[in-house]
Amino acid sequence: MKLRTITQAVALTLLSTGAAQAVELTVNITNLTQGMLFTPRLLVAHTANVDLFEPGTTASEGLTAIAEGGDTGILAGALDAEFANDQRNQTFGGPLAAASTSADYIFETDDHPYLSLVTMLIPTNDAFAGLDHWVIPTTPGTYTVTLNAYDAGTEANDEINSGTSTLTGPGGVALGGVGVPGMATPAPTQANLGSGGTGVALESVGGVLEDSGAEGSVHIHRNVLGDTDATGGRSDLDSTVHRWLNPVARMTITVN
Amino acid sequence: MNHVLKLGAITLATTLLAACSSSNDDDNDDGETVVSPVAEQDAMFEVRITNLTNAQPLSPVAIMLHQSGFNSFIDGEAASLALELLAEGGDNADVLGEVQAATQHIASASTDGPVPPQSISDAVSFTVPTDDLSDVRLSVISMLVSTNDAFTGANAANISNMIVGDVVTMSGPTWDSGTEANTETSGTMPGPGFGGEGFNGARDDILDVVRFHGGVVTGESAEFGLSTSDLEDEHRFLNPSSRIVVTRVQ
Repeated sequence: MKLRTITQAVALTLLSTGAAQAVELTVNITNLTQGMLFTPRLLVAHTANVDLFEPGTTASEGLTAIAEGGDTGILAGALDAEFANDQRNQTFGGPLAAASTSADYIFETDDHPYLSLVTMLIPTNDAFAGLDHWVIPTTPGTYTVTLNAYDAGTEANDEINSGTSTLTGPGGVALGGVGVPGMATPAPTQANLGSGGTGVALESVGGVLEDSGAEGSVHIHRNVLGDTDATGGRSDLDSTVHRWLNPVARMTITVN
Repeated sequence: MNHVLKLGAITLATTLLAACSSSNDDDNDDGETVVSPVAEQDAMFEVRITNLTNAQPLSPVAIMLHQSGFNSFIDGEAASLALELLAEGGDNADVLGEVQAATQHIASASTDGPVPPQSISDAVSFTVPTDDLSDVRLSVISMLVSTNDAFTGANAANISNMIVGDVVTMSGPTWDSGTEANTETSGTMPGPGFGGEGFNGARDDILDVVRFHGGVVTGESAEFGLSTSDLEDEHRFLNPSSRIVVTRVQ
């Protein structure tokens, strides 16, 4: 029996020489926060030269689109255009509610050695949970990793609810879009959100949130503040609901 | 109670092994076989908890060794009544009772008392039959006392196949049991400093599920704080709030 197994293993090795071996992962993610929703998850298996984000450097256009609006399409498209053979990416799931676990995702790595993931925390200005260059184990088994919350560094953390605010961005532009002040706050995130805030990291003047431009580089998020005034104050977030402590997510990864 | 049961089991094992040894001796021509002390057939572990917080006492710590398949709680699911008792009032009796009633139970005990802030608990020793070593999980639960229902610890962490001398260190995050609103008022927080109510069966949190704690808001900030909170700057914490060190000593 053992000999036969070894023979088969040798045969398989010979067959697969020179060809990429498909490594299949089963991945799920738990949202550990009590007040943040996760946008659809961009999962990428890649080589060492591919980077979804790098703390200490400015965010790419694709990462900005995820961190400010939850849109994975731009980053996925850029990866496919620039690194066709060095990565495989796939966007999984819909909104993942606070304190809940996703379905299992089956993901083919195309034998790339690293795994990364990005998902936006809503409602925030530009916070995301990230897995960065996790080395995919070669030994089959189930592994657990936790993810911290990063600030993309692309938008001031004004904590303004773009869905209800009467404020505007520079030149009267509506709040909430990518590159515009205000938090993207799609429908399911509205429940515990206040309104009427005047802004935290960015304060309104004459009804306008004048964006000073990008904050800087990707870094560990310093957390939101929020307040307990649902109809005014500085923030439209609730300090008893929306704050978090790292880590914000747990991934369970099974190498099949 | 558990200690008594465990001692009984050890005595029984000793008797059985002694019987085996003597029969082996009978078959041994030179008669010089040294019979090892039977206690060495069992593995021994020591567990210590470090309270990493600035000013949050940790309630007497429930330390549980068990096989996989048992969990005192699951993230995203409602807390058991036993967990609620611990997380709101620091009483670990029912959490220990639950694991001791489970078929996966190996050994469990409480620290002698609370673990003060910025200190390390005494070591708590556990006996694990060597046959069980291939599947050992560690669960640890202790309340951050100056909160409504925060707790720290470990949830079925895998410590299988440790060899003698191995040390495993893990960081304990902070959970919110989801069983009590985080009002941070003195009347709702037990223990020194506040002496308020511990356990209360009402479930009035924003989500009735276990998740990671968002931290205490405190009343320190007029603009961003919780004006009704009786907690102060000193009570704040970040993760990890505890460190757990497991040593296999035998």
